[in-house]
Amino acid sequence: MAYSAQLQARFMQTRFGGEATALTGQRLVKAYVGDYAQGSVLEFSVVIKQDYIHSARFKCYGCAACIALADLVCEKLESLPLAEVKQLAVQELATELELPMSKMHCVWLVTDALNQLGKLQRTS
Amino acid sequence: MSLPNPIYLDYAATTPIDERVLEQMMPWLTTHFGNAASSSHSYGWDAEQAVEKARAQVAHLIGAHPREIVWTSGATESDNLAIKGAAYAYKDKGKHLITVNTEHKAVLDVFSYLETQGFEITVLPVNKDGLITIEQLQQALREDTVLVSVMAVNNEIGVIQDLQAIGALCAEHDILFHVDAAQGLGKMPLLVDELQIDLMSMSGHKIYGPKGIGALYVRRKPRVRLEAQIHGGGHERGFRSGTLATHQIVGMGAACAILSEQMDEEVARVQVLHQRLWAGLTEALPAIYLNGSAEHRVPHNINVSIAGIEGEALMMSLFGLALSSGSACNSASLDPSFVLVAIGRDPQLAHSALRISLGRYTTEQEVDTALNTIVTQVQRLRRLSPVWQKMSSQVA
Repeated sequence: MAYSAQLQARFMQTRFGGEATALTGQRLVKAYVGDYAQGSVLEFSVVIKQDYIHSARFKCYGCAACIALADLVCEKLESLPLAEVKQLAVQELATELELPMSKMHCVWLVTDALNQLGKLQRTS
Repeated sequence: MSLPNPIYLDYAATTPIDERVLEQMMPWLTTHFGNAASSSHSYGWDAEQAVEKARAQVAHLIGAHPREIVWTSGATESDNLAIKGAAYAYKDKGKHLITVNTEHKAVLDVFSYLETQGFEITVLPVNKDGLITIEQLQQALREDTVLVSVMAVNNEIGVIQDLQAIGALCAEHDILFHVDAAQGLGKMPLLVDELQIDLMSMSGHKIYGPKGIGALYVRRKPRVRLEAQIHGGGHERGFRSGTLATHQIVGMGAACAILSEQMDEEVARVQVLHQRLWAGLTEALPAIYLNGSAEHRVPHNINVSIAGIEGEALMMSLFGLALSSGSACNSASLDPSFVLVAIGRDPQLAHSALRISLGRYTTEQEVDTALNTIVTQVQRLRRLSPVWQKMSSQVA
């Protein structure tokens, strides 16, 4: 698979891989989507401070495109007001990385994870 | 000879032409351009002489007579000629053919085709080591079995079938024994009389010769009949018509001559590199699994499944290494390798397999660089993997 230079760079040098940890007064919310048997599993963990995302991290069992997209999404999530998380345009981020059409499942996976984050954040 | 970056570890896919082979080929591309079938002038005589010299060089490597070597365009054509040729030539004797489920598509697709033409096919399943047993084959034999086709060395996992036992069984039952030796030639002794082989397919570009040339060994004593698959002039004693590609043939002959001289030394050197690489991988990485028998294999091949990380991400991260993934011969497809599925690997482990194949020009430094790259990237991807997090708690 021939990926764009920026996708390859982000995949090879992820900055947001791992798990977020919350300190006193902060809330940790995790979302876990996907299926090992289907070849993709994605976990987002975000720390919420007051009404914005303080830190965001991801873990991903998936292709290079999925890992790169998850890393970029975490970058955009940090410092984002909670009210704007739902409006995060994952498709636009995929376009920014020049994700091939055959990798659209990565967009759906990330979107599912963000939706789960949103639900968990509202109920927790 | 040093190869340009990235580090080439895909010798099972193809090999670079040995400089000594290229040197032998060049005159036949320039000043010596005659047609070996032109019998009335020296251009043709010289070409014919070069072709016959190369034929003898191939024959010498496998312990055959030169008249038992038929030139083809490659192992795929040799497989087609051998299997179809024998099936049609012996159809009055019987129409049952046997092969193995991990053969190259150049064999399996021919068998599938013959099934549509009214032949009965038995495809033997391999065990977890990638091997068939002689008992399995014995049980599959019938009164009307005319051909058994088993590859010497599997192209994906590098395992060696028990050719000695298979050849003996086929000879006992007067059944033709075909061997696809595309991966085996030059990596192990393949003496046709010792192994009682009747037909053997060989490939030029797997043995540091040019692409587009191969050979088929066809036993003369007792004589094996084949129905020709390409007609048009009756070249190669009627087996395979078409003007001979003298330069390609010279190349394959020269490649075989080199192997006759240095095969043992080369295999020993690759064995040392294999051990270095495998020891390094297993010391640094838990939960990695060799695909195929550890004992019955050529040292040139390491096919390893790596748990906890996704296959495409692994391949993309090995920048600077040229090797194959768990979809080795079907690299355009996202399906896992059918060979790895046949030995019982689940789809995820099949998909996260690497086929590393070493060769004549692989150096210790390249092995060390590859080892370092693979270990570093696997550890990085495992740190990112929620699946590995769960698995590693079980592995520990």
